[in-house]
Amino acid sequence: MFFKLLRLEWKSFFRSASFGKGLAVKLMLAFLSLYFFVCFLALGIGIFFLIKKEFGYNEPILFVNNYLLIWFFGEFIIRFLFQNIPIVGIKPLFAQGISRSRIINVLLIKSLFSFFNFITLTVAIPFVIVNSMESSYSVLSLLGWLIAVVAIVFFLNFFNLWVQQRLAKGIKTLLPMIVILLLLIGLEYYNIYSVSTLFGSFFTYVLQYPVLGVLPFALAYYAYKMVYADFRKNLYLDTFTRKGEAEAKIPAADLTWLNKLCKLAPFIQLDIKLLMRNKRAKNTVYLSFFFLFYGVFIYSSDYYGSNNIMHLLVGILITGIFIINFGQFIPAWDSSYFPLLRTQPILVKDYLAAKVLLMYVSVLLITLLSLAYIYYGWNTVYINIACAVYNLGVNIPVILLFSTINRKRIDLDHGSVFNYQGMGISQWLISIPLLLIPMIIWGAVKFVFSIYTANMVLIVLGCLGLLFTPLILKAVASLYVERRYKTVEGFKQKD
Amino acid sequence: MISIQNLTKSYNGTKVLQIDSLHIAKGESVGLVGNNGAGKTTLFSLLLDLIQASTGEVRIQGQLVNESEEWKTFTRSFLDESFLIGYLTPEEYFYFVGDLQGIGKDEVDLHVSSFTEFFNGEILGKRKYIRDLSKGNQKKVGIVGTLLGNPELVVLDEPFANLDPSSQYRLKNIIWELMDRKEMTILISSHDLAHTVEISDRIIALEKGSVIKDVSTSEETLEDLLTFFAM
Repeated sequence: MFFKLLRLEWKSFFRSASFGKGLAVKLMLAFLSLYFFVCFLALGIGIFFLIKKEFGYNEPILFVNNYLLIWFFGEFIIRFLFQNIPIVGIKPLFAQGISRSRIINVLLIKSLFSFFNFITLTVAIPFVIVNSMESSYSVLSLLGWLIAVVAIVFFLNFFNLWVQQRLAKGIKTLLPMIVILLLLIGLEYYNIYSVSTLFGSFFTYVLQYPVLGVLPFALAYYAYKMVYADFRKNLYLDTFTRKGEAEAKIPAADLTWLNKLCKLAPFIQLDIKLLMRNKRAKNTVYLSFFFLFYGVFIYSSDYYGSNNIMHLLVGILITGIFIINFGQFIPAWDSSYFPLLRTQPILVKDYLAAKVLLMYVSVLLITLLSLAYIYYGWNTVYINIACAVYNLGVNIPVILLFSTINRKRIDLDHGSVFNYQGMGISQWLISIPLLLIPMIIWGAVKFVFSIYTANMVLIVLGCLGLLFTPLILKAVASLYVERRYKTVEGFKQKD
Repeated sequence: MISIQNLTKSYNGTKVLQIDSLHIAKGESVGLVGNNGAGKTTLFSLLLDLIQASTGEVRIQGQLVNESEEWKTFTRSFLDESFLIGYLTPEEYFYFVGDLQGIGKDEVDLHVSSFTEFFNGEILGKRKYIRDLSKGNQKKVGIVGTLLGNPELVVLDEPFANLDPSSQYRLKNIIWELMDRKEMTILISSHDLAHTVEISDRIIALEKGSVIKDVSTSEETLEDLLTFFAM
């Protein structure tokens, strides 16, 4: 029976409608995963020698041990953000003669095959292999160490599910844990007491007594039992539906000031609600704020020097990530109610103008926030402003032009980051000119003249673009009308 | 109000709809009946310019629907859930549609409040998103949305499906009232012959994409239709 259920999972994977479709997207994803795989692999192999050379450790693994906890914490954060409870598809099983415990076991065991469980291993396994050749530790010690790492990964897997399950019931039940976590981070940060060293010393013990490596499995088992017990109690059809939080969260009064924008107001209000109330749309907003911090990594790294072309990429990405993510799915955001919009007396021009206005506001807002990078000098601010103007004037109209070929439906409720619904090859290709062209222009002008001229050129281009935007809007609007049947048809296709 | 000439729609060479000539006068209430795949929804989609006609034309008040947009100001339709916005509350949805139609908030409130009985206390003031409503309640929101501001032409696809018996009865009352006023042209499709006969003064039956019956509703219509479809 257990295997029958697993086989069902297998079928659901290979027979899903999206499996055969979108070869280009698949290739791109395969390429990306290969890229990350190689990166992690290289990290696993290289880190041994890197630590030995840079930090002068004879046994890099001891150095690594001290940072393991931080690595695992990072892994947990990634899991927490992206890994969901694999609940889909179990609904029909409830009504069958299958015991609840069996369903839950399948669900949990299935989660072990999640992509997230392989991230750490891709680094850890090559690292252990290098160690077995280069370090003085025996293969047995290293095997014990690896087993302990695997056990912790499994623990994180179940622990994350448990936390998510708890979170579904409200954040209150997690409060004590959050407090303890903050306390530990504080202790660590102010060098009062280091948990990560304590955690690391356990792994050092494991190297001495490899048998200890089995201990963390107790932890993983305990986490499994906890999730199991929780699911056992709570796994009903309505557990994961939003019925509980269905209440409208924003009072309508909050947005009435928008009415002053007259005819665009209803669309803007609708878009704001779209962004606030749908998982997938919300993610694009979160991502925009997330990207604000991208600059920190580049600016504070000496490697890129100052005024490097990378700084321009950062500028374009920070100020433009929202327009890239939001703009390229116009009008697919409205795909689930497109026929309604088509049969209402709406001018396509107004509809588009509202989207453009929203993107303008996003660029301005993010640019304001990015002013904090003045910490890294005025130059970064100049570059970011130049990028913002370029995004406003050039990239927004370009993205609108691309949007006329959008015909893929988006289901707003499916929100995970690994959801590529609505993605076609064009979505991948579109990002390239948006990022590359300004980089080439800026880099070339900077090379010939100076960085100030390069910034100015971007600003001038942006201003020119702004002047022409109304014309482009008009052209795009008539393209929309021309392709309306195909769009309606495309948006009807659910996969 | 509506005039259709030589209208056909084919997919990959197969004709799914062929209507040589059809006229619907202002104030008429037309029931469209037919089996699955008879072309009811196709006809409505063509009427609303959601799909492209293979040949022929549809005019609403003399204007071609695929060229003019004028008809959208007085035509309202509810074919399926793609006419609803799932992440809005019913109130927000009514205001949104009202905004697009140029109907003020107060007027929307007044209009919506006249459907209190139909809503049966399950829709207004619940602070629930439309996507979380039951299928029947979603349908009610869609139907009431189309009647907002008394449009001249209303198109409803299967309005009785998914409604509970009380709501079906109430919906019939609503439509009767509109029929009495003779101001609104109403097009309703349904599988349910009894319902359709009750709420229309003209019945059009479709079979394999063609009009096979076009009669004024009378005492015998229901029996006629029943025997016809029993074949």
